[in-house]
Amino acid sequence: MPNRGWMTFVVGLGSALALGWVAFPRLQYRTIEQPLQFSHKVHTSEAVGMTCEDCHSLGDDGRFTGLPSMATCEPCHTEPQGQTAEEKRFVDEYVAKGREIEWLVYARQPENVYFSHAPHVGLAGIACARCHGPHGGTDRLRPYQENRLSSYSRDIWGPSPTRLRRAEWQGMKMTDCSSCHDAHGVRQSCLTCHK
Amino acid sequence: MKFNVTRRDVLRFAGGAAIGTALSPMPWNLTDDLAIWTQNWSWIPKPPKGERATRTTVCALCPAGCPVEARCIGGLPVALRAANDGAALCPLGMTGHHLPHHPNRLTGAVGITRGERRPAAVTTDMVVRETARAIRSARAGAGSVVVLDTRPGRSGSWAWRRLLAGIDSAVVAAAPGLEGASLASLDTMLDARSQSFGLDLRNARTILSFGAPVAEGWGQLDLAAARESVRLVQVEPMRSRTAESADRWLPARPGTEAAVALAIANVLLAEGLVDTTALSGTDEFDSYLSVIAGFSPDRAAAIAGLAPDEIFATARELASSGPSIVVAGEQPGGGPLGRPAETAIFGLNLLLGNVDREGGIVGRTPLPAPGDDAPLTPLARLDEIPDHSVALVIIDASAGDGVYPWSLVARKLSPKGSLVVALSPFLSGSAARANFAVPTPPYLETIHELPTSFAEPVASIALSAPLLPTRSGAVDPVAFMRSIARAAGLDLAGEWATTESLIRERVARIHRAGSGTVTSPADGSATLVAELSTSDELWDALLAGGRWSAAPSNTMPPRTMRITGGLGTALGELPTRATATPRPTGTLTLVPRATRDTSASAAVSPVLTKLYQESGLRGSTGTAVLNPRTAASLGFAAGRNVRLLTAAGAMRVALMLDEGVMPGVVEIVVAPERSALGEKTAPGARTVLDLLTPGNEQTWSAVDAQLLEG
Amino acid sequence: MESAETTRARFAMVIDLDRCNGCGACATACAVENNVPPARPSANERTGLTWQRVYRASNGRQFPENRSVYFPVSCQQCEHPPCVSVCPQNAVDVSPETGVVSQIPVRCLGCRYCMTACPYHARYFNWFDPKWPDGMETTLNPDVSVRMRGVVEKCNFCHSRWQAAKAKAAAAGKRDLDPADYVPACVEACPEKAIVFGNLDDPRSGVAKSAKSANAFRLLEKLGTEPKVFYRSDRAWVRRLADADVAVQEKEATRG
Repeated sequence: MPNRGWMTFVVGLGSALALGWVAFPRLQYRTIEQPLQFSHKVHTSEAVGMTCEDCHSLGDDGRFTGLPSMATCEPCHTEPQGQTAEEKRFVDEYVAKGREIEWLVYARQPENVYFSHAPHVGLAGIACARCHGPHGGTDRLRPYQENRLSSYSRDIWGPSPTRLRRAEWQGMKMTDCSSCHDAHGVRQSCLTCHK
Repeated sequence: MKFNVTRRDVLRFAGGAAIGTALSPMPWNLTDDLAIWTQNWSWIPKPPKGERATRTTVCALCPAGCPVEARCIGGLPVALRAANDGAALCPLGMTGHHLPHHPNRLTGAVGITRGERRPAAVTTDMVVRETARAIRSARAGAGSVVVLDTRPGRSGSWAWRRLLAGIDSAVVAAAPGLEGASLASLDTMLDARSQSFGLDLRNARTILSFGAPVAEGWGQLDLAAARESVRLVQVEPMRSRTAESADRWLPARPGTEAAVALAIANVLLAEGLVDTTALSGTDEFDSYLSVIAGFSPDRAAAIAGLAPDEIFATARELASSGPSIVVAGEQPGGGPLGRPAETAIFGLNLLLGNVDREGGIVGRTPLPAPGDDAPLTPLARLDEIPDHSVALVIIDASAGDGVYPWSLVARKLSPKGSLVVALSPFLSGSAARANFAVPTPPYLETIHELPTSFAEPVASIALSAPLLPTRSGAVDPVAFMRSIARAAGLDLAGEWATTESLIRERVARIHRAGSGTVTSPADGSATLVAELSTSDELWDALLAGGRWSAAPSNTMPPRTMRITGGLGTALGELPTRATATPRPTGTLTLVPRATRDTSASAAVSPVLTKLYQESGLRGSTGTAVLNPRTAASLGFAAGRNVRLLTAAGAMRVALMLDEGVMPGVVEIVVAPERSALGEKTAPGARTVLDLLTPGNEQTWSAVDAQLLEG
Repeated sequence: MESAETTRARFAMVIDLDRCNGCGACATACAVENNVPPARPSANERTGLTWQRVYRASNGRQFPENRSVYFPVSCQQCEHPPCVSVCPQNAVDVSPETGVVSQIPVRCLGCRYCMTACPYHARYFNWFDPKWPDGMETTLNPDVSVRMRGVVEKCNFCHSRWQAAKAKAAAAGKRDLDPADYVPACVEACPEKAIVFGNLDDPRSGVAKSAKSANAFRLLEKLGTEPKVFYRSDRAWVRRLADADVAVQEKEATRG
């Protein structure tokens, strides 16, 4: 059997490719549900009529408040406004007890990264969805996929293991920041984005 | 079919797997994930997250009480800076928010046994019982009771006097070496009660300072701001920060300050530069004149190692560029200069007519007491208490501490049995020398009171508002007094149960009196107390960082001025060290060198290792600094470890050479001990201060010493 | 989208050595602002971390003519920094926006070539993991990341304060920051107001004027590193110290 040797090679190649392309991307992340479900769609609907800025706001000092605190939710939610079990749980477990929700932040960056929304949103006029994807009309929060090694979300690398064929907003690695900076002629150095 | 796995098969499989792996995203993703994984070690602390806010308070770490603006994250302070524009905090004040997390913070009462590495945990109740037992035996004749107050003038200080009023043998004394201690000599000379005058440094045009760290914020003078209007003449053996920033520096030999002061008086009188009608005709003045006659500028200059011209020039400048003020300071770490020297120095103010005059020594009304007019324990000076006579010492270090040789206290203790109890947030400084230490809340965890500081020309008060919750285990000093009163059967009237309620009483009394103003730290705007309708409004203004100041009083009672302070001709007796020339071979004068900022607290932020350990800026404690010529004459080189020998013992020290040190002098760095900087060391270990054993004069600014090999 | 080009600035400081009295407030404020940990018990002036260190030098004369001068020395933010070209990791560069020499600890592999290259001894190596006493980590500044063992760190003119000032300006729709919003911690902490800070390229700024004044100088100017930390003194002997290596001198004096 002269070709048997090549067969073992192909078996080795095939199993490694299967491991690398199929098994590894699954093993790499674990899936965690957000502590609470939230519907952007309901809140931004005409009936409720909230805008993005009601919860995600840029302060005078240039600091961005990405996650609303309970103080923002409380005025409306001292009593359940709808019928969902999730909202009832929200009122009972968070509003009534004065607890903050420990959201898992898809866009969370390492401690040494500095990012300010003010120049990007304010000066450059970049739309929120350019980096965060269109999520204002979603009815559910996606499960948070946490990288088992780095502990950051899958959103940082992006959904595709090769980083090919992805939407503009998918991926928040350093190269994503710097390629956009390059494309728009922003003078940059290490300290532009690191602290 | 038979399938033999050959070595070649394995290699082919491995080769295929290697190529397959390389063609998959796995190695590249793993490399990236691993790189980020290495940035996230769990043991690297993460800064706090939370809402940002600024809050104001007043620094309580030294008596100056600077207004402070705290940058807070999630309500907790992460940085402190001066709240008033143009001002700045000292290194101690800037790192004050670290102190509640100090590694040597007391979390519960402890019993300390000398030689034991770790203190034993005890209950506060047990300390109260032991203290009450000591009080009962003191009343039965076992000895006296002394409260050592490390921040006199507080409401808490008053409460101690109230608590012990029923005990005949009890006194309350200021801890040795506190700022303003030298003013006790001025008390005697002006026949005044303590705290009834201040030093109007801000309005003086010439300041002659004998060792006071005027450039380091002493007397609440901002020298940097007053630079244009004030001329500073500094008499000091060391090239201190103040000496270097002075307009003239007179490097007098250690212990010769009195000779310089008396020679300046000699010139003032001989050249008719002063009007002495108010002083003359008394026995005091006659003996003063006879002492002065012995200190011609030439003789004093020879004693002090100065040029006679410098003494002449200084005297003429004092007389011509008034208002001038002459102050005897406490060297941080070196304590006051001693009563004879202080009297000779302050006597110049009497000669120059500086008393009750703007820019001089001015009378001031005291702060209202927080309670009724019930009898109080007398105030005393520690040196007035007979040696071996004290059965109980209570050290109130709840608001700060002093730097002093422990032997000053130890010599007072009765050999028949004594107890030392300390109240302190930290197991360092005074508390580490006690038998029992009771934890009190530190700065930023409770309200601290900043009463009139010694130099202020008018009475004032500020409050340090807490920015952090009090940690459990901390005992309020006034609540502790109440427990002692109950256990020892003492009568402590009044409604107040805690320090805060006692301070509230005092603020209410200030409000009732209705005079003075509250100055806001932010914009310096002043509000008249008379315009505040309730005392709560005054309380709130103070808690927001405001400072209440009394209205300047215009009428001063006539004073009896005793220019020798009752010392008579003893005023001219100098330490033998100062006059004996030549010194015995190999005998050096040991002088302690310290900075003012960190000498007011038993604990400092561990980050101050930047100044004491990680750079050569301040030197670590116990470093001996010698002039290279002196070292050469003794055969020593820099970097060597040598033994420093004084009458009190010997200690190994590291040697540094510096041309700026006076020949024949060895400067010893008195810096925060390792325990004060946060290292866990056995409490009560010997320090360099133990080498500086003073006599009973409360001065340890210079002692004889020898340097030995090894 | 409009180009996000920003104005170029060269931040610099002028330290008045005749005002500095060596109190150490700048070094302390720096450590608090930049999360520089306290020393290990074994640390000394060679292994410690002091982004801003105050060196004492003297006129070398005998007592009582001996006088001191204090040199606060941080990263000198050279125009031609010797540390950049030696870094194998690209962890060091000069920011074109601010002229500040960066040091990105997470990129650093700890080879310490840059420390060897720096003539000012202004770079520091983390020999140990940073350790604060229990509870003191709640006092850390969230605007500055904490470094780990095995990397180099140094002063960056409190870059996080620049970032905050830029963000504040951007929120107000401005590209250029208000100079009053960007003041490094050491400048703010100096009780003697000895440090002037600002943009060297702005001819109206105090720093541009001071840097050009007659008695201004830089350390080791002969090396051509073009530092952006200037010193000034009216005393000639102090100016003569500019070409002496103050850091090495003091280390030799203290370590024997």
